[in-house]
Amino acid sequence: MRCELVMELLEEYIEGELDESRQAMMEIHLADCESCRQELALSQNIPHLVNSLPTPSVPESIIPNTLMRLRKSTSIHWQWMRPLRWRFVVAVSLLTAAFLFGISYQRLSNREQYEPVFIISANNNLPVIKSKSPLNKPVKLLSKNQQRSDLRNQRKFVSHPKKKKQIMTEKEIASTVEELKLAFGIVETATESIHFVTLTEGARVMNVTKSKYLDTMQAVSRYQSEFLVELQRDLNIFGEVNEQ
Amino acid sequence: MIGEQKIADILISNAMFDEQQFIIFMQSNQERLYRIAYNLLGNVEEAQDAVQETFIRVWQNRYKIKADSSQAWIIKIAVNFCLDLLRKRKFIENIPKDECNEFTENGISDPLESCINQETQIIVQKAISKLTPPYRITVILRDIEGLSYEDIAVVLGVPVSKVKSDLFRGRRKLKEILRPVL
Repeated sequence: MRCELVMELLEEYIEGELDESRQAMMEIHLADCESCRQELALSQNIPHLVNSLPTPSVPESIIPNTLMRLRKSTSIHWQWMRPLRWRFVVAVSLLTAAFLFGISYQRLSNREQYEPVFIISANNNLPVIKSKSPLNKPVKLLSKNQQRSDLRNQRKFVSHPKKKKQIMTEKEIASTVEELKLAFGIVETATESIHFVTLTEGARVMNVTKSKYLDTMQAVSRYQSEFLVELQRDLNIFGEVNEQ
Repeated sequence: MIGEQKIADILISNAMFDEQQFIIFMQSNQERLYRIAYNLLGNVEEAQDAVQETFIRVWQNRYKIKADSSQAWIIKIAVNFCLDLLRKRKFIENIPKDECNEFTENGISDPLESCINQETQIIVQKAISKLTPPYRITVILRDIEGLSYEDIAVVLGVPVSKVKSDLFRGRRKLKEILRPVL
């Protein structure tokens, strides 16, 4: 065994980490080599030197300071809250879940009950009709390009490019505008070439045929009529009560 | 594991871990933790901070302590904090001050012998502070604290083989630093 290798293995030798054969070879070499023996003595001295370092005196302020910091953070005094904390966390989680569920449910139910809103698309670039539906939903006449931007609040824009869109004649446009005026009190029009009618129901957007559009318009009118009848009835009842 | 009372025995022996018990726990552990922190950081204030922070973390995690937790767990907290500090200051060499009153006397009555011993100790301290953190902490835990390889591996979160190689390299490095003065 060479001295260089012995020097490298001295630490392992001291700790008894060498296998038996190497351990034996080291012992044979060390018995004959004075310089390696000196090196061994030096290596053996290192752990002792480190171990002989004095224990630094512990500052007395450690425990008082720790307690002060713990008291400041209040955790030491709030230990009685520990069982309650879990309940608090569970309660907050449940409330949050209920709140989120409520919002989602409300959105879903709104989507179902959403009143029809009509968007009429034209091929010019001007929004020409702006009015309000009976439930204050906007009714706009838009150009094709404006459809997407105006529908930004809708969840999804479903378009059917392959679907043949119904071209309205000028006469039909005029009558549609008249119907809109009747239904929604539209006051402004500035188009002569409405190409198709888009019906929006909640988040659902679809292009509809003229017949469906007319059906819907009738439904709206019926709804309005019924509403007026009911209103009239309520007014009458109210009047009767007042008269009594 | 370390042949001392398990932390779980101290902390979970009573259902309510109250302030008085915690003070006793701190009293029985502060010396060892301070010694480790001081030897690792070489700075009184930082070592004090490290011990305080360790106690606070123990308190905050007292309900998470497992029944088989040993002292390795609390040493691990202290060592991690010290290593974080070392990383933050990017291992700026912080050599301990050579003030005699920083150390407890080792029963040495002869002033001259005491002074020679203290000088040697300061040299050894300086040599330790020159080691890189992995070697330094391994040498401290093994040669000062007397932890087993397995405990050191738990504390440092490394394999036992790495502990051994770091220890031997650390000692070799110390030998080279101290060779001119020994």
